[in-house]
Amino acid sequence: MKIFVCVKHVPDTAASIKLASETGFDDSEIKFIASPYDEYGIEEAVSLCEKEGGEVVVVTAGKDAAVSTMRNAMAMGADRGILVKTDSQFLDSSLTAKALKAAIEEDGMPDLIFTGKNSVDTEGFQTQYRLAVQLDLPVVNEISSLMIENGNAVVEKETGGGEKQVIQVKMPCIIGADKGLNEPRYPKFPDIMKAKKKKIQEIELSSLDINETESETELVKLELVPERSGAKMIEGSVDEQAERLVEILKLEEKVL
Amino acid sequence: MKTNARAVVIGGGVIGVSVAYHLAKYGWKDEVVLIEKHELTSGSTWMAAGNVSFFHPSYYCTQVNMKSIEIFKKLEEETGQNVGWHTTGSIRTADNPGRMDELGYYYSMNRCLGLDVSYVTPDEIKKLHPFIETEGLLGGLYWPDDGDVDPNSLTQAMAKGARNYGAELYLHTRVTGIEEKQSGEWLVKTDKGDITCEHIVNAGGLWAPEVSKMAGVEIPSIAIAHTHILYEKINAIAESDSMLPLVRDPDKSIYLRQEMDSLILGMYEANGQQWKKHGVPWDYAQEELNPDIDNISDCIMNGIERFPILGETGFKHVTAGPITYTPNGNPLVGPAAPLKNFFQACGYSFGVTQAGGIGHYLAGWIMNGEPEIDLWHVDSRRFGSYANWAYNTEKIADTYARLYCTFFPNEFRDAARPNRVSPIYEYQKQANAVFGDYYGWECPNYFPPKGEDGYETPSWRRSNAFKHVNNECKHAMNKVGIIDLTRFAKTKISGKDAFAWLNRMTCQNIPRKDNSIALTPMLDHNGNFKSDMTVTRISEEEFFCVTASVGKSHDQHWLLENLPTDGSVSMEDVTYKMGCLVMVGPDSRKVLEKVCHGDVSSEAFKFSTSKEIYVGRTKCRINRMNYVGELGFEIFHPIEQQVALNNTLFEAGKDFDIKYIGMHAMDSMRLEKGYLAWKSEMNVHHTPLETNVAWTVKLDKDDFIGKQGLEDQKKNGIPLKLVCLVVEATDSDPWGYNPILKDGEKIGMTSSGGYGHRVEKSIAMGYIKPEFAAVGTELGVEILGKVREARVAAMPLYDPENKKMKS
Repeated sequence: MKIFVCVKHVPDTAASIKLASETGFDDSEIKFIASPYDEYGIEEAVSLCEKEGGEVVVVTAGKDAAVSTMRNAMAMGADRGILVKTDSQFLDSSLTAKALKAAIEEDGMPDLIFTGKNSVDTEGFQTQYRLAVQLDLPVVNEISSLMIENGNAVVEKETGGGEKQVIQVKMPCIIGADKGLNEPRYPKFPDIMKAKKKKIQEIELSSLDINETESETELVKLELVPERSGAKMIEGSVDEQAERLVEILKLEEKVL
Repeated sequence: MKTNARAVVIGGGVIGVSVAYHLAKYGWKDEVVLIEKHELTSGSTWMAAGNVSFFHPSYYCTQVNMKSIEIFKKLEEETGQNVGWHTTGSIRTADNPGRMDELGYYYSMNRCLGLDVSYVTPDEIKKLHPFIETEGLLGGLYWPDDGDVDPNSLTQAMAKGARNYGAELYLHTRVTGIEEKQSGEWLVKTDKGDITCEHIVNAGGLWAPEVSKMAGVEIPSIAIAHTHILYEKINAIAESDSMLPLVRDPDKSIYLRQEMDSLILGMYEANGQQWKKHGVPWDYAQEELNPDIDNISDCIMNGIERFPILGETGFKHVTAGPITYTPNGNPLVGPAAPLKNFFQACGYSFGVTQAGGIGHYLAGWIMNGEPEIDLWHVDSRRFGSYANWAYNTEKIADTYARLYCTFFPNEFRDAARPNRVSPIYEYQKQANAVFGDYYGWECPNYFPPKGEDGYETPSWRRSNAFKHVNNECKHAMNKVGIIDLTRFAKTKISGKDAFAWLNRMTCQNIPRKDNSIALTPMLDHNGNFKSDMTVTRISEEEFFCVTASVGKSHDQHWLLENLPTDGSVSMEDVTYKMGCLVMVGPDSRKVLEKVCHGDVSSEAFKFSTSKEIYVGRTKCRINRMNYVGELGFEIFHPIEQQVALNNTLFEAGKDFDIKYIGMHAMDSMRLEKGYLAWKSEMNVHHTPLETNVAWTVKLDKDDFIGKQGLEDQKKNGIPLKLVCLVVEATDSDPWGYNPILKDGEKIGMTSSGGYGHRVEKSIAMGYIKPEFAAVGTELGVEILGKVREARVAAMPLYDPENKKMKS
C-alpha cells in the first residue's frame, strides 16, 4: 500500500504570535509543530503500513523550515517526504491543493491520502476537498475510525448528538482525520535519529505547472484577537442565573 | 495600588514570591508589595523540572537547600495549597576516581550538616533504580530525603501565604524605572503607578539585568535555553507503588526523575544556546522555545546508555525554556554594591531548589541587616566590574557545559581569561607562571621549571604542582622571593573625622602614630567577622587600607554604607592605581638595601611599620609585614611603574637567587603561620574572640560596630574555638568543610587546610568546641569520606615567636 499524508507546518497553539506586517508574523523564534489533526493521519498511515506493508510519504506545502515538522512525521514512521517549497505560511487553499496534487501525481498515485480535518493555523477546512477535485478522488472528512475492506475504506464520522455515520468509500480516496481515529505515537529517540537520514524531495512551487496568480482568496490582514476581558460571575438561584445570562447575551453582548 | 511600602519585590517567579512571602511572614506584613509584569511563574519557573535536593557543592548553599525542603513540606499545612511534594530520594553517580573523590568531599561536607547521605555501590543503585544500567559506574551517593515539587503549585502556595500575611501582589504591572529619592528611599515606577519604598528586591529573573540597570548596576546574568524531555507513559512505572529516586549522572551530564507515570530527562549539553543575551524582551512570557534536538542528541544518547528504556520510549514533550545563568552558575543574592537597601535575588538556574531557603535567609538579611548564614558563595558582590555581560557570554558558554563537571578545589578554568593583569604579567609568563584567576585578576599559582607541569591537574589529591610549591616555600624560607599581590583591594580613607570613623568601623585601635600599621577585623553588628583590613596611618587625616582582593566590592560597599554623609570622611578606591609586590625571605632586606634610597635596617624600619621610600626610581609605600611569616616587605607602588620596580628588584636580587613565588605557596605558608583567611576562618559565624586574633579586640575603646556582640560573647563564653590541627594525611589534605571528630562524634568543622611545606605537615584550621581545644588533644578529621588522625597543635606551627618576621 502506498499512502500519502498531507502535513502542515503550523505555529504551536501556545505560541505567542507577534505580527510583523499586515499579513505576516515573526516566525523566527516561535515553536512550530505538525498540525495536530495531521498527526492522526500520520499514525493511521504508519500503522496500516506496519500491518499490511507499504510506504508512507509525507507531503507538505510550506516554507523551508517545514522540514523540521516533516522530520517529526518521519520519526513517527513515515518513510520519506516531498516538500513543495513556498514562501508564505498562508497559501490560498486552492493553490495548496494544486501544489499537493502536482507532487502526488509526479510521485505516483497512492491507495490512500490522509489530511487532517483542518489545519489549526488557518482553519480553512478546504484543502482536502479541493485536493479531491484536483485528483478526481472521493473524499470524506472528520473521520474517527477506518477499516480497509476489499479495496474500500469503511470509515466512521461523528455527526453530533451521539450519532455516527458509517461510510464506505472506494479507494483510492482522501480521508480527513479527526480525533479518535487513533492515539498518535510519541517518537522515540532512535526513530528521531533515523528520521534525519530519510529522504525529503524538495520541489519549488514555481517549477510546477501552477499559475500562482490564480489565487481565489487573498489574505488581506492579520490581527491579534483582543485580550479577553475578565469573567463575570452570575449569582443567585439557577432560574435567576439563567434569566440573567439570557439578559446579558441579549442586551449587553447582543449575541442572541 | 499602594503608593508606599517597606519592601517592593520585583518579579513573581518562585524566588520573588518566596522573598515576599517570608518578608510578610516575618513581620513586614502589609508593607510588602510584589510586582509582576505578567502572571506568576511566567519567566522561568513554569519550565523548571522541580528537582529539590540537598546537593550543592557549597556548604552554605546546601543549608539553603535544606531550609527549602523544610519549608516546602510545611507549606500545604500553612496555606492549604498543595505543592506537589514527593520524597523520592536522589542518587549522584560516579564513573571515575576523580568523581568518587568529589563525592567524598560532598559526603564529608554533608556530614558536617548532619545530613542523611550514604555511599551506594552499583548493585545498590540498581536496586534503588531498576531502570539504570550500572556498567562503568564505580558507585554513588544516596540522599533518601530528596524529592521534587510542582514549581507552579509551590509558587501559588507561597503567593497565597504572602497574601494571608498581608502582602499585596500586583500582577500585569511592569516596573518602568527606579529612582533614588533625596530621603534615601527608593521610588519604583510602574505602568500602573509609583511606589515609594525602603527596600527593593530584584527577583526579576530573565529581566533582572534590566531591573538592576534601572538602578545603575550591571549584573552578569544571561538566559540559556535549558531542555528537558518528558517521556510517554511507561507501564512498569505506572504500575509501581513506589517512586523512583532522582538520578544525576554528572559524568554523562544528565539527570532523570520520575514524573507521574513516566520519566523526565534533563541535560547540560556541550553547546548551551544563549538566548537574547542583549536583553530579554519585556513581552516574553511562558513560551516554549524551539528545542534543538541535534544540539542535545549526545546527552540523549548518554541518557539511553545509562537508562536503556529511554531508547524504547517516545518523547511525549520536549520542553525548552530560558533559564538564567551567571559566570559560575551560582545565583546573585544579597546587597547590590554600591547601593543602599537594594537586594539582588536573581541569576538562578536552580531557583526551585533554593526558593524556600533563600526567601527565608534573604528576608532575614534584609530585616536584620546580617544574614543568618554566610551567603558569600551566592553574594552578588563576589563578581567585580570585570564580570560584565560580555564577559558572561564567554564564561557561561564554558560554565553551562560544565555544570556537571567534577568540582576540584584547584581548578581554574580558562574561559574568558585574561581579564585583569599586573603590568609584570609578561615577566611572570616568561618565568613559566601557571596562573589562577582571582576576582578577574591573573595571578600566578606556581612557577614550574620550563617544560614541566605547565598545567595543574585538577584533583582532590596533591597535584603535580605539589613539588613546585614545595620549592617555592623553601625558597621563601631560605632565600628571597617576590609575590605579586597587585590585586589587593586598596582604599584611601581621608578627612577630618577619618581617624574616629575608622575606629568605629574596626575593633582594633587605629594607629595614633604616622607610619604605623594596624591589622584589624571589621565586624558586623553582631560582632562577627565582616572583613579583615590592614590600616596604615599616613597622617592624622589620611589612612591607607588594604583588604582581600576578592572581597573588594563587599568591603568597599560596607565602608560606603557606613560613610558619614556630611563629607567629614572620604573614601577613594586606589586599587587600580597601585600595585603591590611583596618581597619575602631572609635575604629580602639585603636586596632592598641595594636599591632603596633610605635606611631599611631593623632599627630604622621596625616590623609593623610603614615607610615611604624610593626603590630605584620608583616612589613606594612599604609596609613591613607579610602573610607568609618571613622577613618581608609589602611594596606598594604606582601601577605604571611596576615593571621598573620589578626589574630593579630582580637586578638587585640576582646575587641572592631572587625568584617569583605563587599563590599556592603563599596559602601553604599562611596556614603554617595560623593567619586567617577571609571567608574561610573569617565569616559571619565567628567573632575574633574565638580565634588567635582575639588580641585585636579592644573592648576598652569607644563604641565600634560589633562591640556589644563581643561583650555579650565575652560574658557568655565562646561557643567554638579556632584551632590548628596536624593531620595524618597522606595524599589528600584537608580543604575546609571537613568534619572534626572526637571518638566518632562531630565536634567541629575545618575552615581551611592544606600542606605546610616548611613544617612538612598536613594542616587544618577549624572551629571546635572549646573543651577539645587543648594542645595535644587527639581528634579525627574526615577527608573525602575517610577519617584521618589529627592532633591539636600550638598555633602557629612555624616560627611561633615571629623571630623571622621581626628579624
